Amino acid sequence: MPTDESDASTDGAAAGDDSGKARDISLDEFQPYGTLAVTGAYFILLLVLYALLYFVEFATHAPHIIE
Amino acid sequence: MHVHRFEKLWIGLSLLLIAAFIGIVLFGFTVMNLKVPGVETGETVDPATVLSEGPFAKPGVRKISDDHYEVYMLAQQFIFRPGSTRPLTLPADTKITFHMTSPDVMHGFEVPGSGLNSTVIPGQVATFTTRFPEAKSYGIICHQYCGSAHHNMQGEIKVVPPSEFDESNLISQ
Repeated sequence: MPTDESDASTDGAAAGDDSGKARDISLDEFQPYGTLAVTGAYFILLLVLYALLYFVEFATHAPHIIE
Repeated sequence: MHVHRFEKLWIGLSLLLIAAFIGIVLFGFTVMNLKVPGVETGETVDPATVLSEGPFAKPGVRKISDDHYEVYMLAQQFIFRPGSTRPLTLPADTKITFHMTSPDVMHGFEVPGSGLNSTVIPGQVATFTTRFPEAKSYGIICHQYCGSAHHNMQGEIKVVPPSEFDESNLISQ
């Protein structure tokens, strides 16, 4: 949370003075590894649960249709 | 257009997921040789006369060979014939072919907890073959809303060891 002091310093800062201001970065410098980890975990969960549902709950539940 | 490498990765994984879903289903139908209920090619029945003509006039179990029996079953409001008024008795570990149709409205045939599941449509004959692996009792339920007593439409399949299967109740060819 910004404090009153930092707000004041940002407001008073001259253009070009980066102290207290968020840094501008290019698209390629942005590396959201946390988001990648969460999305990756969800992706693996989805694949595992789909395979489990298909093979355990559907495909191998005898008796099943053979012809 | 410049795309961030993480976005490229996510787009690639999304496409991979779709490919995996399709691949798993194709694996089932090719390598595991799974089947779905079929409709006998070109065979239709007249729902108005199905109760009086043809094999469905005498629903029940018929013998094809020592290892193959067939069941002609009617799903009608609100019973399975045979199956509801008394259990349908079948031998275990034997090929069983079901032929099913309906004289009134659309019904469903499901053996809960198994892969046996078919829609029963008036005028069409749903056919599939199965093999009950063990001697025990299986339930049948109608999974397609068919009227006011749909929730009571149920039946039972009693699977017995082949040596105990009583052939005196078979329908003669």
